[in-house]
Amino acid sequence: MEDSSEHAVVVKFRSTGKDFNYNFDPAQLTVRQLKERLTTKTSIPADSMRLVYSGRVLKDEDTVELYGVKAGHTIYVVKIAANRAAEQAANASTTTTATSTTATPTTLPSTRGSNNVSGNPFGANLFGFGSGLDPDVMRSVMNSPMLRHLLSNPEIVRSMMMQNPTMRQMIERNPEIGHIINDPSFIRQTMDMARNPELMREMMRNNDRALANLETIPGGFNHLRRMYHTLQEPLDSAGRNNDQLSEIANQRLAQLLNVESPPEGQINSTPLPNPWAPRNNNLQTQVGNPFANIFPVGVIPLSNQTPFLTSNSSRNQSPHSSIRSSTSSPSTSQSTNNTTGPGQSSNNSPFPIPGMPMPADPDFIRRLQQTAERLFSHQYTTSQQSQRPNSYSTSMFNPNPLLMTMQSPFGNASPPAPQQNTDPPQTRFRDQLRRLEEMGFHDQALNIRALFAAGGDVTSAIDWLLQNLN
Amino acid sequence: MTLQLQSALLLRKQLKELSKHPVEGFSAGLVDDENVYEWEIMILGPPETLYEGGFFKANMTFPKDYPLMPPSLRFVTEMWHPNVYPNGDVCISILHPPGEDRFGYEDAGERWMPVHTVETILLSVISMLSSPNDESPANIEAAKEWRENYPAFKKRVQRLVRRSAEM
Repeated sequence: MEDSSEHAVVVKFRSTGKDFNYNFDPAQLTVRQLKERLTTKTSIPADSMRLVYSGRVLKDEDTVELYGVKAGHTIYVVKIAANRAAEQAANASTTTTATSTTATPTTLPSTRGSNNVSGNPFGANLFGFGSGLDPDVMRSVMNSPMLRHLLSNPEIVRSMMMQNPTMRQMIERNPEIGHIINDPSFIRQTMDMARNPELMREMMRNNDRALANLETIPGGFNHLRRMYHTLQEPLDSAGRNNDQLSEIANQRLAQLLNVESPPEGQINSTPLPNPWAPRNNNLQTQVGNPFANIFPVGVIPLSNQTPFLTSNSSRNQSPHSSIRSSTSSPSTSQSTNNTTGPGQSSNNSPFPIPGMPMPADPDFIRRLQQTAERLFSHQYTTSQQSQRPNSYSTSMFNPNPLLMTMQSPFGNASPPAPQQNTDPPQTRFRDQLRRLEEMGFHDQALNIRALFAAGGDVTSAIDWLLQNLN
Repeated sequence: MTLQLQSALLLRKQLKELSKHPVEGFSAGLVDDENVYEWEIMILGPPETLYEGGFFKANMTFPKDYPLMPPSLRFVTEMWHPNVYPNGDVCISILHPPGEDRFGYEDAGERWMPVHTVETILLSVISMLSSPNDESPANIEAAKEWRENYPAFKKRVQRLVRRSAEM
């Protein structure tokens, strides 16, 4: 199958999830033929395959040579969805139902907006709708015919609500709420709101305004507080499962942060605790190294050799890749955490608290980490050095502000003091010298002088060089 | 003269790097092999977004004093996105010239810095596709639709994606 003529080149292909090499002669093959050959490799039919190279989608009738494909370069293989037509039809039908239902209730706010706001301050929020639910999901759920039929009967809704014990208790305590729930038009209206995010948002805005107005009236704040205690709080907890675990987790977090819940009936005027603030009391023995929990001791080369200056060419070996790999999977970071012992680690890492959510999406964290890594290596060579020209330091845990903010959720960070560098300029500025060399500045002695003048910052050094050349 | 040489060298180097070690999500090349300041970019719609499956062609134009000043990026494929002007120009903060924003929207750190490369720019664009920023929209209509009539926005984008794949 593969070409063996003398002009054949090995070209890399990147398909979703896998890379492979393929050997062919670009002058001999049209794109179409290449696609047909690739179907066996990728199991994508030639008709729904697209090849992308050098910013272009390759056209079937051209030869591959036309695009200047060279050995070692990479061509993307992308599959496009085949059953577009079916998809389109499905989409069209759902959107029409959505628009037809949104059309009906839009007249509501104008006709009964005023009395509704005063009569039902918790309108949109009453069933806990709109809190944390994706409006799109909400709408599709509410639009399903079965649910619509169910909810169109106020009786059913009422009995559903009465089944929740917290809710029932509250209604018994506050008969006025019972009235609200007994009012079929109210229930219907709430259902309409749940169906229509626009209306819901409008109602919530009205609510906010009404509450804000209330607050400005003398004594209004107390009234609001009473309302919160009698209605909103029990409603919220009625909507939630009584989760013992989260209660415990909350308590432990509060304990960790040294906060006490305010005495009953008083306004909590203490500032919110800062979870990332350094805690001095029992931490003095451990310098709050943000990576202490991530690395097993001894992995970090804390020598005078700057990992960065030497490792730009071989970035894979830089310690950062191991940071990335360990944070990319929550389980590994958690397990490395645990090796330091629960007592210790709970002092400076929020991870081991049970029930406490890990910074959720591992993929997101990995991406953050990659950006941080990239920025870190760049910033390191530019801004960091310009800030501290003399004590151009080598410790890899420099107080880089960006990285600090990235890392701080993983422990509280106070960087070790920077070390003085005594390396000769050639070694110290090796990376910058290489970059200047690549940009066409070949006089090394002059480059070193420029870097000294610029405090190691490549951009400023270029400015200096250009000024001194002219 | 030296400055021009510097930017051309830098761009050639980045191009070489990208053709050897491509980054997921886009493919880059030159419009004209003689001119290293005009790039042709093919952005593959990022998976699990509305733009998934789309092939978005864009041109990237570098100024002669790159990397001191940012390149500009313009979609050639029709685009519907809050942060893309109707004429295709991409509006993200890292492509704005360095210095403080006179409207106080972005601080210097968010704007162009010489350390940005084609790769970091395009990664920003890809992340912009997955999460639009509707606080300072470039295309008011698109931002409004995105915010207020998401189904219509979705439908419109899906149509564009389909059309872009039928080349």
